[in-house]
Amino acid sequence: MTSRAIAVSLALASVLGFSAELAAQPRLTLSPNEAVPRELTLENEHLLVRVQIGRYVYLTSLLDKVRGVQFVDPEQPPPLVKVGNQWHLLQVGFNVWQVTELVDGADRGAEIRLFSNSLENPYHLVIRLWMSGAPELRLHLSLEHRADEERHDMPYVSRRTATVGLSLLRHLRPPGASDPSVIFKKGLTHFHRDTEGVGMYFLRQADGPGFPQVVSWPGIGGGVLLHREASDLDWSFDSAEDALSFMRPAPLDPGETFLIFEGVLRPFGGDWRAAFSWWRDRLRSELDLSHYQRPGHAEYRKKVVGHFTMAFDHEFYDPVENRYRLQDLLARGEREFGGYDSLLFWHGYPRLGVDPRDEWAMYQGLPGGLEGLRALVTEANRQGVWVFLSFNPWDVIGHRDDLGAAQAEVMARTGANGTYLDIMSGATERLRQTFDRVDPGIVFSSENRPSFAGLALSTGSQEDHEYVTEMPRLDLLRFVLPEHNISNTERMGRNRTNQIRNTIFNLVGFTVWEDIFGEINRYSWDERVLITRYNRLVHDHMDAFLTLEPRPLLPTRPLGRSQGSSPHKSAWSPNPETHDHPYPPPSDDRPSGLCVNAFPTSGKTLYSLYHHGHDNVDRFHDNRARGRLFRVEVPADWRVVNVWDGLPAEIIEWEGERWVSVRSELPDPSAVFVAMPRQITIREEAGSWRATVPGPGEGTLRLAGMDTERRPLYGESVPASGGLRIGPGDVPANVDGYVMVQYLREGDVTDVAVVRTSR
Amino acid sequence: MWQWSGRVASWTAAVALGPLGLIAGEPRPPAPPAGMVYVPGGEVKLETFNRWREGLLGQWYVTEEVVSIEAFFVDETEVTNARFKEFMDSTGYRPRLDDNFLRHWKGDTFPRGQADYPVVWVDLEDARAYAGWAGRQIPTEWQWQVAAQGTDGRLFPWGDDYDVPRANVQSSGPRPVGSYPEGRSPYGCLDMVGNVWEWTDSKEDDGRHWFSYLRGGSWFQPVRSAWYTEGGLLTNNQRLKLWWLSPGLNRSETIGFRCVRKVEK
Repeated sequence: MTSRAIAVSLALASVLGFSAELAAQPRLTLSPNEAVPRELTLENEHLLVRVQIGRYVYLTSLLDKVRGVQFVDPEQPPPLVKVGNQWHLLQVGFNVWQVTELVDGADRGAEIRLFSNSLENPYHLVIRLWMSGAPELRLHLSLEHRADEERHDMPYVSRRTATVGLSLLRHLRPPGASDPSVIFKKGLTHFHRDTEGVGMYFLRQADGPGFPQVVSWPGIGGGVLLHREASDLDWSFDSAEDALSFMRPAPLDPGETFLIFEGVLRPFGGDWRAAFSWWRDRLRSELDLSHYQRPGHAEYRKKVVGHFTMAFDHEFYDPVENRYRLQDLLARGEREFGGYDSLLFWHGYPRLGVDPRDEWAMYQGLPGGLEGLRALVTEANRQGVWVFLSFNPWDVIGHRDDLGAAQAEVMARTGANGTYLDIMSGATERLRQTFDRVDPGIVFSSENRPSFAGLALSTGSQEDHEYVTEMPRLDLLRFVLPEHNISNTERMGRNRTNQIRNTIFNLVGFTVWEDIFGEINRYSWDERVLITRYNRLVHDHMDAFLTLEPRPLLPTRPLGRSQGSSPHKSAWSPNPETHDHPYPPPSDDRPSGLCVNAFPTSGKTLYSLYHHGHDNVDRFHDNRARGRLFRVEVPADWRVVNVWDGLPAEIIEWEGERWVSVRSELPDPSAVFVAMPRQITIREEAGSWRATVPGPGEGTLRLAGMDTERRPLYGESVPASGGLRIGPGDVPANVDGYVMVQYLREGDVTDVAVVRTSR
Repeated sequence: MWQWSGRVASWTAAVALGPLGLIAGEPRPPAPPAGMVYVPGGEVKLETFNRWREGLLGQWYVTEEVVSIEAFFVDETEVTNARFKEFMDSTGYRPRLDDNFLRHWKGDTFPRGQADYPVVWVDLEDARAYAGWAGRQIPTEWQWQVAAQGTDGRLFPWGDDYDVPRANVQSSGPRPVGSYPEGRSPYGCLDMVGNVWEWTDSKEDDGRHWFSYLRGGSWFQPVRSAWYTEGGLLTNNQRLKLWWLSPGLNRSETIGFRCVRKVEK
């Protein structure tokens, strides 16, 4: 129900009382009587909510009927919202209330208006709460400054700042529950998950709907979320305590209304992941995803590693012969980065403005003009590489009436696959329509993240993060809208290792960008190796990369918690009273921890892991990543392999649950595991090994390994029907002790077995 | 010294440390060839105004260098279409990669009435070919700056006043050379700012690109976006780092040149 719908409902407010409601429909009850109600009960088949009405409105029941969990301690019912005056002598409170029923179809609710008969309090606090058949209570809380000249002849007819407290979540206390874990918004772009001792950061849309505030209790297997759809309050917090206590100023002039909160209070079963799933489904239901269904987008999703291609970079352009060096560029990309799936062709800035040629006129001056570019696109496409052309909407020196039409014409004449929207965080409908007249298959890639609404039209985006320090950064968009092509890059940073590791952790794309408009910012050899390894791994497991059901942050085993003591531990252990950590945590000093995402697809699940603290081993409490690592939900007889390092792993049972475990410490802060049904059988035969698969042996087998510099190496594929013999001479001398045997069917790896060779 | 915003250059952009002006009692300077003026030699401290990246929203920095310059002659004006045609007729010059070479000419000659206009649609190699034929050279950046600025560090060839009417800037196209006598430099050069950008002898290679520095600005001023190359009335010490693209883009309707010649001792 929207605010507008509420207004309509108010107009239609009916006489109280109703009888033969369907079980699924909510019921509203007022007691002791309708004339002077002191208690209000809203109930449907999932939820029973009761509030007590007096000088404030107190929540006396939030009962999850399905799970039988009462979240409110009746001895200490929390106020739904509190409002204080700025000056303590004016804290006269509210002593009058009016209750009006709200009806909207089958939905039921009430508006409770609190006000004072003392002139000192000019506020009206308006609480609307209602219910549909869903297991949630909808809330709309607002504050009105009702002072006027007739009633207030003293200083009250002026802008005043009330203090609003919304600490409902803090006071929920289900019986038998331990201290809750809390998720809240921190800063502009982060959420903080205050649990397991690991600070967890979530990227979010700058202007999109925020992740709910969540409290959950491990002891009861459930929690409550507070999802804000609109609010005039500052909804950013410094700490969990700040988030739970939540006192904020609410300045408003006479006659103004201040929206405290509009949204949902919803109990859920499970941990915070249940809240995440609800939120994800809710966001997706509000998006038009039709552009993600277009034929061109399916291929776009497979473009993982791109290259920002400056047209005048001599690695791409031969100035002596005046020709593109596409093959040289792609070969270098293959050698040093594992290959490019796409090129972002850039030719205008910073040359634009020397003369009256705009970016579209400049195409005529490039080698072969537009025909030359078309030949480039054709050849790149033939090799599976997409080409994006840049679109600079600020380039107006050509005095064109329609820049989008100019770009669309170039797209048509060159056959380029997509347009990169420079300085645009999203496309407009008009631009999309212009391109549709040329080719509906052309995709958009926006510069940085589109707004939430903009995700509908811009099905991909390049994310330029500068100087990534907090690790890891979970990218929520990857898990809310996996169809969206995210490509990370970091143009200015001299060390992009963290960004690359975030890319691995979130399993998203990466754009290699070394030529920053003429300024070279080279990737180190180590960074090249990281990207190459990741690139090859993703293409081996493209089916998992494309999953539409990625799951963030699996349960992991806390590291370094239980042994001895150390300065680190005392500094960063939870405060027993608040179960809180000092904030903001210096990123290098946060407790060690494992973060793992899952990317399940049919017959396979890929797990990306980041080990925060890998580089700072603490001898006082072991924070090495070894032994039991993270919980999984795959069959116990599946094989699991650390394909990032080509090392074996295993699935073990622990307290009735399955966990991925490794015997040796993970050698790297990043890891990628894959779990798949066992198909490959390895037998040792007189100093060599033989890999076979059951049945007729469709598909192919091949060796995969890494050289001593961790560059991936592949053997030749052989038909699986004949098996694969691995003799000592079949493994290159520069490959270390382990090799993987991959079983590929239709281009995807369907099983991997690790063999320890004799070296 | 880095300067992150605005035009904060010192108003003293060139300071003569050794004799650059004429000193009483010195022998008379050599007579310049026709169409050239004399610039005495000496040691000079030059400040140069750089954009960190062209079009990068006012992010400037200033570099300072003490340079020793031998006396030289410099063209009073930019090389004209007529002079370039003489070169063409005499040598039959044709660049190996001729994209947009003399794009504005019709056949083998310039448009009617544009004999005195600066030649444009020529790249640095074309300019060097002309200079070689004429027994001259393309000026270094420092030669260009001293020719425009003299020894007193003035901002513009005529002084420190921001006086747009003294140069062909913010207009609709090039004008015949010498159309702005009020814009004369201390040594007598014309159109040092405005009319067309001028190549300097500065082709550089950073391993991934070639680039040159242009001086003087042109008649064209891009407007309505901060990402464009700087236009309008530029100061004597402003340089444009021009990334070489393809020959078709290296040649432009806003870029011409003038020449210098050594003074024989």
